[in-house]
Amino acid sequence: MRYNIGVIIGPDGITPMPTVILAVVELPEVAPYVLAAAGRLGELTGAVRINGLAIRLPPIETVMRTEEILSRTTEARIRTEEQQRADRLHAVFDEWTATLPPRSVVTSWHDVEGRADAVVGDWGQRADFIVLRRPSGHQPETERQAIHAALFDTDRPVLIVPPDHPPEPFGKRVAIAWREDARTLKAVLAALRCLQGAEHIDVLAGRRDGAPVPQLPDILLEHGVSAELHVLPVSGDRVFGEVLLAKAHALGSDMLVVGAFARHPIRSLLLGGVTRYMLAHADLPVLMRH
Amino acid sequence: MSDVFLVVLVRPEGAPALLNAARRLAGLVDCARINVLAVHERSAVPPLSAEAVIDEANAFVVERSRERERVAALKAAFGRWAAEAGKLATISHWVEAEGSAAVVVGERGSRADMIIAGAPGEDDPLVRQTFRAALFGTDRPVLMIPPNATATFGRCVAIAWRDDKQTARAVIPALRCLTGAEKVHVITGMRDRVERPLMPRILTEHGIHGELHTLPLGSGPFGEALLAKAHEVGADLLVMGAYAHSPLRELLLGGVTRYMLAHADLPILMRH
Repeated sequence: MRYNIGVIIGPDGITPMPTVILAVVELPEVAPYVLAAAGRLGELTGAVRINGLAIRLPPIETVMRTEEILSRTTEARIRTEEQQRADRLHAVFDEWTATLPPRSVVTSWHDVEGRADAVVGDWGQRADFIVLRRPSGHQPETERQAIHAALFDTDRPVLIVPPDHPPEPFGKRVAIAWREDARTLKAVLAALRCLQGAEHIDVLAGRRDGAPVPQLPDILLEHGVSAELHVLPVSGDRVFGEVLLAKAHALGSDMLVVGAFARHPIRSLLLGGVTRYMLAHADLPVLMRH
Repeated sequence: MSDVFLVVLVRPEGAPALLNAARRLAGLVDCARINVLAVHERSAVPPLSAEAVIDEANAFVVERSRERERVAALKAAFGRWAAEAGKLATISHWVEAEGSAAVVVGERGSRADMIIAGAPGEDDPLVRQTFRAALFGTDRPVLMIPPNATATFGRCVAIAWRDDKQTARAVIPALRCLTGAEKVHVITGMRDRVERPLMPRILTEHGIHGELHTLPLGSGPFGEALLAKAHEVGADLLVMGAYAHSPLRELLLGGVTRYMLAHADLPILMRH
């Protein structure tokens, strides 16, 4: 652990807010990508601290409903396996912290046994940003719980990182999926905290036939952020998430900002279309907020 | 990034305190823009008496002109403040809107980083309605300024701590105003025979060092004890979560939010 906090002084001598980032890691092979993204986000926001967190599954959570008995041997085996996984993640975390410039940020490692949703909900709500990997392929229940808790229970902005390649140094060309509503506003307010280094910002706004032409959002104008507006047709023939992602790539975006939606109180059942699409397909870092 | 503040003016006599609070906040947080909002109420006050109904048209006309006068007085107060605000004046914008304060504040407030609004007095439905819209209709942190509040807050900050989501939601934006604080006090309630609380992790992780105070729960309104403690430690700003829409929770809290809205005599940063 390092405790040398570099003091950063902003314009007019105002010290920017000390930002804390929570990086939730699960698989040792993907953890380096998640940590690299957390580190990059830390640079963009001037973070003072990055917490690495591994969640060990309690043996009882692994029991299938049809099984009735969790034998003591099985319990011990599961505990050992989970601890070994956490230890491997810890090693990855230590390797990563060794690459950070000295005195740049405090890093600390935590592994906690508990249900993924409860742990992420608790740890996430006191961080400024949460970084997680995007679920890939067949997603285990715990991973879905973790992402959903981060998005819907913590009220914090969540950076979803692609699981299959290391992130580019994102934050230079940022695309904002614009929609006039409270969730998008919240996502944009969070994104504004990491746009300082952005060279170019694109606003992607969907428009249905006959709907009024979208304008550049007031929230950007008022924050003194200049951006370029792109209007994308919303039609029945293509999933809008796909349209958004294709446009972001066409524009060379390295990061996408979207509001996260759920249409049902039991959120995991009915995510909004774009949210679901991004959680399944986004191949660039996506900053989401509910 | 730089923040956008929304200052919601309702009563001309309260305007200077709110504008000065915005100036102070701009000294604590990097600020890009201050929007100063006044809303022309379409029908500001519902008819209260039989006379109003009898001569509705006349009342309407009187009301309209009263509204125009009120907004003009607010604008004049803004002008006087801006004349002395120096370079802050260049990023301060007067915004006039017509409609219901609740709707306009909800919409405008949602895209600001912080809302500054007057404390809801008991005898002023318009201020109360506006404040409620800011607190419960925007999801944004609200800096509530009571009449006669000191203009220089943020040096000694008290945080009313409860280990829950609302408090965390209030503390996160407050951390941005704490960078200039000389002293931070954390005040938390404690029941008998419960382990002594620890310094909240959200603060230590953000590098904030504070002094922890515990207050016994159960004897008298907690809000009263909290406010007294805040004064005792010399706090000039109080940070707390705000609760509503959950009668049970309000009951469990002893109505701290309600108490503070009615009695606070120092600026309070709240969030629902």
